[in-house]
Amino acid sequence: MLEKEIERAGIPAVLITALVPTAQTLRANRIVPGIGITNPLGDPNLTREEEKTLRKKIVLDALKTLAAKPGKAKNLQQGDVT
Amino acid sequence: MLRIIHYVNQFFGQIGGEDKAGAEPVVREGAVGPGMLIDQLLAGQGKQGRVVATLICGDNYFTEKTERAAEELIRLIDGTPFDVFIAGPAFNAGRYGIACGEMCKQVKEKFGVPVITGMFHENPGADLYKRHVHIIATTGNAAGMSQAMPKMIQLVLKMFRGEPVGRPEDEGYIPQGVRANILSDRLASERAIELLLRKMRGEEVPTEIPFPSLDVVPAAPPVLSLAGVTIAIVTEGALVPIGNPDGIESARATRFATYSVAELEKLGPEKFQSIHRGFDTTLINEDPNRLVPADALRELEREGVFGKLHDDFYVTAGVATTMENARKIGQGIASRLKKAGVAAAILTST
Repeated sequence: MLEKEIERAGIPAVLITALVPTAQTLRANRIVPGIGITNPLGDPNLTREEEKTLRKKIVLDALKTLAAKPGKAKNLQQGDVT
Repeated sequence: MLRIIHYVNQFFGQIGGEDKAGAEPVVREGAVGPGMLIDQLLAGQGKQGRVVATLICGDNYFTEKTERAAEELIRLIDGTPFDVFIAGPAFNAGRYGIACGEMCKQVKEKFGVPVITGMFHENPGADLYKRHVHIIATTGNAAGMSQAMPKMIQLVLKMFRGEPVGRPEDEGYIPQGVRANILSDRLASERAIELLLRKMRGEEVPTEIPFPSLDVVPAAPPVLSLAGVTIAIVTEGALVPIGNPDGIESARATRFATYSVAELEKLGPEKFQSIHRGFDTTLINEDPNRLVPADALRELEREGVFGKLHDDFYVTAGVATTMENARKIGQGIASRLKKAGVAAAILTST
């Protein structure tokens, strides 16, 4: 909902969330899969360093999404870009 | 004998049209305009009752200074004993609808009598007041007067007699968003299979719960290039400074807060915590960057991947948020982003 209101104002916005189907149902335009519900940009199974690297990658995907035309989000896997 | 007070605007009150929308509040004895239909309908049903007074006020006068107008109108009827209050119906007239809704609400509060009005479901007054007072759903214009008024009278009489108000579909009023539990004589599994079979047979499938209509917002155009743009972070994970100094709600949010990442390389667990009530916040509290990726963005900013990380990040709690509040919060944040010249936003959600 927040994503849509920001886009409605003409500002591209991308949502990072683990709940991709929910975001799709609510018709969010730009979605990048997060890692987990309690940790959208973190992974306790990795070391902090590894986590930061993964986080940077997801954030980079998000930035690329902001600079790319939104396509139809289908079967997104972690690491996919919408 | 049932004593009714009726509220109408300058047009139905026969004072004038749009040119008289600034008409000041007056009270007239007995029924005026559509009020006469009220009298007729009651007499026709053999009921003892009539409109004892009619309040008339210009639509502009009311909506421009609502507090003052309502006060004046209430004062005009303060000495008059009455049993029920009827306003409008306003059909699709927006200012009139707001006036009817507000008058019903105030009369109900101040006098404790049953109140009723009628509006087209798209009337802005409907959304504003449907939760506060009963609004009979009418057609879009006054051609529907003869259908609307009887329903309004019927429902307000019911309320006057102390009878329970039925469901919107039965009584004809605009749904108030109230959910009442009803015990069915069939298991949900049976009802679900029946709906599925109907669907497969191509028959009508009456849903038990209407799905909220979700608007599609066309995607905003992408940024042409990441170089030089300012990016802001927004989160619904309720990340706040330890102690939640601004008292941000941890559920059912009605607002958002703004915190600073200026000068910060990352967010420290000794400074921030999540007070979101919808998920286990342990991992986020260990490392807030897992929710608000300030560290990653700061590094990417240094590497020149994009222009600048906006100094502020925006926070709310996304659990049990009503669609209405989510929209309001979203609009509030959007307007801040616009003012700050932010080119794009990254939202993180749990």
